Amino acid sequence: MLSGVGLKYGQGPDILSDITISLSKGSFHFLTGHSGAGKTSLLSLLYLAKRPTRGSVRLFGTDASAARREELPNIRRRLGVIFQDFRLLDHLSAFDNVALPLRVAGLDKSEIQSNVTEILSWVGLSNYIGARPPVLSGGQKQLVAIARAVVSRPQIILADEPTGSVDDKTARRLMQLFVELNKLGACVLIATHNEGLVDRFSFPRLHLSNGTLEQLDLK
Amino acid sequence: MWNIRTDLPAEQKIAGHFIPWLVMIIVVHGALALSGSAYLSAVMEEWETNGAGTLTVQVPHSIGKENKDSSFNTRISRITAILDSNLSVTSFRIIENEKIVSLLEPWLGSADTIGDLPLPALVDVTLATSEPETTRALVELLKDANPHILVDDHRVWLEKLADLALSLEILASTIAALLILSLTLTVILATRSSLAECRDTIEALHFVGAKDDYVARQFALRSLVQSVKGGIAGLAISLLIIVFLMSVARRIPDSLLPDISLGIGYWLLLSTLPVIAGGLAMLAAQVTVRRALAEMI
Repeated sequence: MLSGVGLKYGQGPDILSDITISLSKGSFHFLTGHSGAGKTSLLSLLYLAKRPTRGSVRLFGTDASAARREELPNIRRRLGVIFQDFRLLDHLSAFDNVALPLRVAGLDKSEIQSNVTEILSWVGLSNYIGARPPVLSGGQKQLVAIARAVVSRPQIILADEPTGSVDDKTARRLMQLFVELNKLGACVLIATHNEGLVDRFSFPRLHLSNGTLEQLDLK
Repeated sequence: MWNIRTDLPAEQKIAGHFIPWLVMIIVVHGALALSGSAYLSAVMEEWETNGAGTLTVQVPHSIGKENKDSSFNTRISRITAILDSNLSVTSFRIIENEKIVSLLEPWLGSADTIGDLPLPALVDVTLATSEPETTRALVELLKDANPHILVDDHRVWLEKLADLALSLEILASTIAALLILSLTLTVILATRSSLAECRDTIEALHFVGAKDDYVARQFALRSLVQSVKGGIAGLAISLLIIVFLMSVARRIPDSLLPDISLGIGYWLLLSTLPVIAGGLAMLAAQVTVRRALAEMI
């Protein structure tokens, strides 16, 4: 997926260097590393918010790092991204936030209605369909963000510190959702610095240190 | 009708909420410029129809020491005889003295005073053609018969009026072009500000796979609705002003300002101004957003 990828901002030092990873279909990985190790930068290369300074990012058989702008939306529609800061639109209801990927894909109203209702029910937010993010708790916002990321049944789910701003109970509930999504066939990559969270699961860990990547053994 | 579904923040919360007001003002100016231009064209057409190929021959009442009515009548007869026999003359009419007095009355005072003046005889002549050569030949014939007559060729002042009208129409077109430019610039600036304010929204839309077209359409539709709203308000105000001006114009005598009814084309164009403004705003927003998005990843 990532081959010899390097990233730096302007003339600054390398944030990432010679990153090569391949995530197979249906895999589950943790991406660990201390704060500032480059986890978010690496994820941003995967969800095509940045282009690598060198190397290539291949997604779904396409060299996404060299793809033209017009080609990016179709690749992004097959990705589900959960941001540390949720990136929900405060002026839209939970329903409309979750419906966004389906609307931009051009689904009709009835399909959107049934899919969004179903996914909000799955994450346990049936009672918050009309609520706007400002009135939701951190955990509820994260659940809406997860619902938005998975509503279009993406093949790859990228989550950046999804449990970073929620309590332990909610963190466990969120992780359970990711495991369920993985069982449904999605490839999941979760960036976290929460060692305790990683230790609870037996999934392989990709560890970032000083901009380089090492794959740690399975526990 | 006005509530389009959009993923953008409410319009009151971002730049551009003032667009309806600006479009309203622009449409009022545009409608007035269009009305002025249309009225001027219609007046010119009216004058062309009534004035081209016509002459007014003025036979002076007294020439030097000569002041005899019989001689005056002879001079008039000589002129009318020439007009009668000339093939280029379709018709002619000696204007009644009472009519001349009534025409002069607004300028010279009471009819009694004017009646004492040695007024010239006026002959309205209609020619078969408005060709300058025909007119020139007839004038030469008349001048040969009476070198003291004055011939008022309507074409000459029509040409001067046409020049004035053309200048005013160019001015109206320039105003229209400037209004289009200001509307376009307003929408571009407002859209740019909105883009900056909606950056988070745009990013979120991109991350869920929105194409530039999807994002641009949302801004364009909003600009369309805002501009049509402002345009309709502007049109309503313009119609009130136009109706008021028409009622004022009706009180002015026809001899000064002809009573013109503007054609259906004018009213159609006037009524489409909000749509034109909306279309222009939509296009400007669409292009601005697409250009800005092209610079984002």
